[in-house]
Amino acid sequence: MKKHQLIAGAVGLALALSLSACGGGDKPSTSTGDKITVLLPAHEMDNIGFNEQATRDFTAETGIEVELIYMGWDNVADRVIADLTAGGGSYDVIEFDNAWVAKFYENDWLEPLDSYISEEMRSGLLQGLLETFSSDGKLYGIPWNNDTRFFMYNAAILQASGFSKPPETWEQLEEMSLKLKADGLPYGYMDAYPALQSGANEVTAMVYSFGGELFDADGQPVMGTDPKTKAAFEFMVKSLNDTKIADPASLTADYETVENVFISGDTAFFIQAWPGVFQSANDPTLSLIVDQIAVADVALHANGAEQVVLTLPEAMAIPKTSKNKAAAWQYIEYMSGRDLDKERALAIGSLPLWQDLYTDTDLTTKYPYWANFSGQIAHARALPSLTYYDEYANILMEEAHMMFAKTKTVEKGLADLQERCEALAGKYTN
Amino acid sequence: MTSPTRTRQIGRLVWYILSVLLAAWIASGLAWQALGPWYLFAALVVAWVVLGWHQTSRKLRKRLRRVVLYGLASLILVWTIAPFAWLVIASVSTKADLIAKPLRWLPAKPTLQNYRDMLFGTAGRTTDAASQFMGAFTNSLIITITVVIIALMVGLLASYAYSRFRFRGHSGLLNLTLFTQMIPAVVLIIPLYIVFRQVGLLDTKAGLIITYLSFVLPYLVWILKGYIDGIPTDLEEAAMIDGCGRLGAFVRVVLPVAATGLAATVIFAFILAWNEFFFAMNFTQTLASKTLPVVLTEFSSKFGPNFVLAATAGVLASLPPVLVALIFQKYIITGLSAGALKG
Amino acid sequence: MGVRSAVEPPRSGQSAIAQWRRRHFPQLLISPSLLIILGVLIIPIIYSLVVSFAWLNPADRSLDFVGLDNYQAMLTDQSYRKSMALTVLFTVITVILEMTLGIAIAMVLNRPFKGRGFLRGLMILPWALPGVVNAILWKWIFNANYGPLNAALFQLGVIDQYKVWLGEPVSAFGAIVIASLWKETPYVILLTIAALATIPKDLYESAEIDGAGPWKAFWRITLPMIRPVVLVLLITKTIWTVQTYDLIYIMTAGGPQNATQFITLLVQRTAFKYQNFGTAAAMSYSVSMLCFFLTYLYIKVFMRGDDWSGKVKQSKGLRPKPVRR
Repeated sequence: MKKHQLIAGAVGLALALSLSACGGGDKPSTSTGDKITVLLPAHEMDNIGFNEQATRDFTAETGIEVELIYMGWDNVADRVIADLTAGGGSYDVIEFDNAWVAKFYENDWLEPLDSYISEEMRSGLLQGLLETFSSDGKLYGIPWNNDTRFFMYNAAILQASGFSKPPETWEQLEEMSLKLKADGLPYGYMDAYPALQSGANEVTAMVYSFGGELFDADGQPVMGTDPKTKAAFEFMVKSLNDTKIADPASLTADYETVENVFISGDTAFFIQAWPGVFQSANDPTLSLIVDQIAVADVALHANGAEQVVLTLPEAMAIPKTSKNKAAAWQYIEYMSGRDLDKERALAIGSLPLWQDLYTDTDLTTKYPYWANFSGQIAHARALPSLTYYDEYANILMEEAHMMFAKTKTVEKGLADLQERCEALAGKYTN
Repeated sequence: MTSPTRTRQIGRLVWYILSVLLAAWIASGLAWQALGPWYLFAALVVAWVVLGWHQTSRKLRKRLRRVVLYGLASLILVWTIAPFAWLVIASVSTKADLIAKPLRWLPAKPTLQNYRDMLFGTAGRTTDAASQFMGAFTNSLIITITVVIIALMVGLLASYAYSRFRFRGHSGLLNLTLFTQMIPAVVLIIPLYIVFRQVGLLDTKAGLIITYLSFVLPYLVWILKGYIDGIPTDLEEAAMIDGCGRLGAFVRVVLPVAATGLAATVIFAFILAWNEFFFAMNFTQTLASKTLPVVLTEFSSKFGPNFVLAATAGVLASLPPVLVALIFQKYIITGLSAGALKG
Repeated sequence: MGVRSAVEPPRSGQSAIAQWRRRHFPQLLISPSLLIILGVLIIPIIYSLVVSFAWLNPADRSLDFVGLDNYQAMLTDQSYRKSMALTVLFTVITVILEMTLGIAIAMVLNRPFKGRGFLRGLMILPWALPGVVNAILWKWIFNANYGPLNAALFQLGVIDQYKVWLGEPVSAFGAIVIASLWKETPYVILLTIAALATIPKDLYESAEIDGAGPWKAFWRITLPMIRPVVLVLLITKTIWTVQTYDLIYIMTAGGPQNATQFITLLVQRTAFKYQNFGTAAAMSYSVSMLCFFLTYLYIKVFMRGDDWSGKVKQSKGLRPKPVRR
């Protein structure tokens, strides 16, 4: 019977597939001790798998097996919050973003780390970072990534159009971009405003640099009435639509695209560049602008406003539901330890987490341009801390996109945003 | 009202004018190396073809019809194949090839490195998602095959009963089965999630298997019942007279005849379960249960998706369902149509 | 589970159990499937209804009943109204395009030509492709800076500047429609081809004798003959399209301006990201209401007292096929 053979064949095929699949997996051979599951976004500068290698070294040293899950930031955010909402239990070490501190504290999701942390670590790590991840006097996260952004630019392109200095204010940036465009550059700059939380980061940074506020000190929304916030949005709308100094692809671009466009020499300014951009730009296998990038001494700001750069530090935390807290802490301690921090900085150019590494001669000779950061880093600001940050980020980008597309005026968009934020705040306090 | 001959004359005149215009346009286009507004050009071509149709002889028309037919067929071919071809090309490219401007349609140096990473592990290279590929592949296979086997066994019994017996609640239960197919997954996801987390089924293969049965089983019952309906009862009756029990007759007589339908439904169920994403995305967290579609979305750095790796994994993940479907396409098409015609 | 007893054929012994078993044989056979359907479908649906009238506390998993508050919150929620309207619009456009395109292509593939078998077989490819792969693929095709669509149109001279396809509400919406069409139309094509094969040739021959052209023959013979399939396709396609998730989750994440945040994505976000399970459950019910309403509408419109309507309802089986082989 032919049909029988067919079915038998299908089953056989399936079996063969499943067997070959089993043979292909590569499991770490040490499975003696504990096993932890770690969920983090990949480090934005880690193109060589440094943290993955370090994780494997950790397993080799301690015998603790690590299931390391790396995803894009927004995917991680979805996963972490879904899991914690469900009562947790899936992960032992999780990403803990600076925007989540209020929400996670409110829900009492995390294990306080004060009893774990050594005195050396507490006094050695950057104090500002530890403070960011503390709430009500308790420490909930150990920073693993000092993600601070800096204003960088393409000095060669500026030179070619007769500019010897980078712009300091948005007005100057606009003027220079128009001249560069007239000289044949496609766009002055590109930014990332996708309908994701990374888009919300960029919009927030713009507002800060105009001296604007989205929320007041008590966490009440004020974007609808703040004239400086309005000026910031008006500038973004104008740059995308009228002066066209910003690449319209900013509306969907992720950070990586912004970097790719910049290192292809299609834009002159990188408004919120992470330190790794400097290295990619000078890597001849990736970049068309080797030796052209420079770090500005002063971050961009509106006339009369203070310069601001965005800081988006990320920490590792242990959910209360973790069944393997000791092993989890061992992993955190290893990954954020001083020695590995220095190695990482040397390998991928990440900004150190430890205070004294900023004066370490090995590092300062390898990265002389870090000296330029110091002018900007003093003006670093973080995202607003809200219990309803995720929902807020979603509607912020919805309204921002409407303003960018001019389907709403900036005034109306901001007023609507404020109204929706107030409604959200009301919902969460009930 | 003009007479038919008059109309034809005018038509011919317009057609001649169009022909001259078109020739002039093409000539100037070649001369200036620019087509001008392409939509106007396209409209002109369409008008020329339509009018020309009425100018031609019957024999020529037949030939033209073939030309049009082959033209349409090639359009369909390109439309169907081009996107997937691009995925395959991307999977043997490097990132530099993909972001080159102007775009390189074929990679400068095709490489199979991405496939090597995916299949044989990536110690120390690229992202960890690649090293999870084989784990997720295994999960997908286990889950899919288990779902298909359970659904097939349970579904066969039920569809046989619905087809061969009349009992109290027969049509009510049958309609209930059909009705559940109309429930959108989004209604189920919240209660299943809440229940699963209470009984510890979140992030387990068992949880996904149970969930997938919710849409595979009703479908299977419905289709299989259609097949069994089509098999005359006298065959079974003869077997039962020969001393087989009811189920014995079913297994020995009905099953072999229904084999085509079985094959089709099995493949269909396989594809449904293999490709499922919505539940998997929300119910899985780690490699304990993560399926391929979920891992496919994880090929990204912190700042952006890694299209090269995602394309490679995408091609590999497509192989099982696509190959199975292509090999057994005859059964699938009969299966699909049987389902729809009877459903 | 009672499965085991059902599998064994009834013995000739006349014990009470055997008798009971024989009498309830069909019920035994369907019981495993009923158990699954009850457990995985019916009970969750009812539980979900309960949740939609409550506030589920994520921390201690307790339910506080709040009456119709969730439904009220849902109806006054701007995001919900927008999402629902967009979902309906998307479904209507996609299903209409899928059906017309699908039937048209099936008509082409029904003509004899060289390579027809191959082309028909090829239709399986998009259909069998995982939805996630489809979404990743189209996201890159529409990429604003490096996408092949921009490159192709630019090199052909159709556009003079790269377009941000996924950055404007209308074009992003259109991009999702196209990606959806590519994957889902082949299913319509395959089914329509199968249905076309059942139409007897002599019908066309007699129509030709009557002087009806191909256009008329299509409306008078082809369409009425394949109408049952069209109805089934309409219903299933509608239910699937309303649930579109992979595409928007990956291609646009619901943006821009939340113009592609269709209802499934909104429910998923409301439940798992904003932890508002009650309102999400209420929203999910409105989705099923929408599905039922549309299904009802189709059946009403399509079964207006037509002679073939019995075919669709035909579930008693063993009735002779209305179409000759």
